[in-house]
Amino acid sequence: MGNKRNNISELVKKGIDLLQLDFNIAWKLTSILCLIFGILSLFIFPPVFIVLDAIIIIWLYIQDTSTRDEVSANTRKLIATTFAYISILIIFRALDYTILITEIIIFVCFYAIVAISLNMSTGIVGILNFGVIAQILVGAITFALLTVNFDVYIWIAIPLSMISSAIFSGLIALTTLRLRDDYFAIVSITLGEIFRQFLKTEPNFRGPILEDGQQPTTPGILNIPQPFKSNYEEFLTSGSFLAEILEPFTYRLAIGIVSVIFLLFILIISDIILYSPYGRVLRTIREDDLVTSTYGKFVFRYKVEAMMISGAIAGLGGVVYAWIFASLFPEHFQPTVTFYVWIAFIIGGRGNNKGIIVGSMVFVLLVRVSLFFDDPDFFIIRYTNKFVEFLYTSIDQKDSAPFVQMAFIQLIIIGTVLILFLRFAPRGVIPEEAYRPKFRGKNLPPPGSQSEDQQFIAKGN
Amino acid sequence: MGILEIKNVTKTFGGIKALDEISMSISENTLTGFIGPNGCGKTTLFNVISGVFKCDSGSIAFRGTEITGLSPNEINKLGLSRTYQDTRLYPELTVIENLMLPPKFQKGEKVPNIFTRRKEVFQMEDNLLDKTLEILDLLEIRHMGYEYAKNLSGGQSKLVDLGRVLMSDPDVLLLDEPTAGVNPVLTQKLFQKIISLRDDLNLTIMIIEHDMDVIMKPEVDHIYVANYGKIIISGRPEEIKKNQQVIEAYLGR
Repeated sequence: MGNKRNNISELVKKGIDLLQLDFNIAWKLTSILCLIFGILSLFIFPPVFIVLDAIIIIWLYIQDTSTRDEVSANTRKLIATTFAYISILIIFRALDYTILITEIIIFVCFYAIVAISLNMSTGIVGILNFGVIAQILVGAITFALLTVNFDVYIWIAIPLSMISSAIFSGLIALTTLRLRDDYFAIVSITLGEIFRQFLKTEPNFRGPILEDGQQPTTPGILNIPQPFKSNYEEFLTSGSFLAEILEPFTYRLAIGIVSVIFLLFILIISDIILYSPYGRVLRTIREDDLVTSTYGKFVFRYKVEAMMISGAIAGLGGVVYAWIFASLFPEHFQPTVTFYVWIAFIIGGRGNNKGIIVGSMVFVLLVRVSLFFDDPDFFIIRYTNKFVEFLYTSIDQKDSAPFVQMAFIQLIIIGTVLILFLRFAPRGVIPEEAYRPKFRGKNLPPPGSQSEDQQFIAKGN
Repeated sequence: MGILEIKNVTKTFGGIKALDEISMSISENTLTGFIGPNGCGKTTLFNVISGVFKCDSGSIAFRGTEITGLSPNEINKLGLSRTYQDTRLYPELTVIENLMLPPKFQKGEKVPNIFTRRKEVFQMEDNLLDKTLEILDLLEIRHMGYEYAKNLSGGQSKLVDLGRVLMSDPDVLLLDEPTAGVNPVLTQKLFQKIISLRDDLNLTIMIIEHDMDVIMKPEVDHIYVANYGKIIISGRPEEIKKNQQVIEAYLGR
């Protein structure tokens, strides 16, 4: 029996050799398989595919004889987290929390897109950008106004809102980037707040326009068009096999799918930029901008451009944000969103887009799932309230004890997780990878190796 | 008329006169030494030439064109590169990436080119990597190519720094203590290398150095000695060695 198993693994090893696959590529293929199988088992119940997934991953892990360098370690981490995440989603599916699953997918995509934009400005170039919500706001409001008040076709409005957010970020960078890092951070925090107050008072930023041509009196933009809304709802009522499977997820799944496509698009574009000579200049600016400028690079231009790219990506995030709520009010643009994005960025890992997706997944799981259990009888809330009551009784103020909701406990959880990550994984779940190009066999000795002289001495000659 | 003309350059920090009416003329294709006790303004002069600091008064001309007040990147583009005393490598990047930054006119440094001219950009990166490996071999640090710059020792980072400045294809090279912290054998090698850069690539090199055995070689064309922000004497190494003022201020008896 054991012999037979060995034969099979020999065969597969030969197959891998034949295809000239190294294990790094094998892991990457596995991650794609893992995703496809995971998604399949999410919709088709019972989840047989996730079991297949687990078998493949465990088998590959046993077979893997490659050197465990940084890159493959990161790929493995990505697969492990994706697998764990999909497993959690499947548990929710089994409990019939279908709406929760779509919410998680949408919010992961939103946070990942915006955190990639933050990575572009903060993680790569080192600009302390706390104006994330301002960038989102410009994108979202442009999209909403164009589609609601001017009836622009939504697929034209999306690039327009990306461009407007990019121009806005570029202008901010042009005027304030000469400030020192921390002052720029303060300026960028205030920007979001300024815009929020502006939205509250400016009648032109309201919609839809009333029938008599007057601006509406309440701040906010209502009925923002969402993608494929009528098509998808028609499809759900068509009664086909696929429609029956997708029916419990409602229309919001369509937003989820579109935002997943957006995320993949942004991920590819951003990775191409990151691992190009351009990205290299950006990274050197983060490390030491003076040296970069003495090597003939116009640092200011690069910073402004990076802010513009970051703004364009955040603008796309803003479009997704507008779709999530379908109506936008000033309250949607609280500064907390900025810090939530920062948390996803810190958990995931500076400089690595893969890590940022993992960070968003962890963060959204903490936020959305805890909100889902916002029930006074839920044991965490019950015991927290008992504890608060105890504290208030001890100072004889039992009557004024507040009722603690999940929204408060959620902040405690997020804070704790953030501290844990900063303490034990300060570079994030999937840290930035070193640039070690391998062109046409021009490979260098791996890091930590010795020169020939040193080897000669070490041998005792 | 030299390739680099420095006229009456003055720079003060608060009450301290770091540079006091310094004038110099560096001829093309020479190796010029610049020595002096600590705090005499050697590095400040380099900073002023390379545009890191703006001088209070005076003028600097490079190949006859005025470069006073230009920004560091503009000065570098004219063909003047410098190193820093404390190396200032990019710690979180690999040695290779450190070396691949300086070359000018890289197509991949413009965003549209990354997407529209992928082939050319990749080809250029490939050539760049060849050049990088050449330089790594020249400095005998090929085995450290994939290492993070923060993991290198002081001497090794000096070598990488020298490699990095060579990657930028300069006409004039300002080296700020290139051999500090490097072992004696390699110091000699490095200096021979610097001399051969002058002879083979026709570079003009200005070098700050504390090691007298190294700088007082007959191959060095000219030496300036500074003290308290002023040039006290300049001339051939043999003359400098004999000068009474220099012995008192710097060499010691």
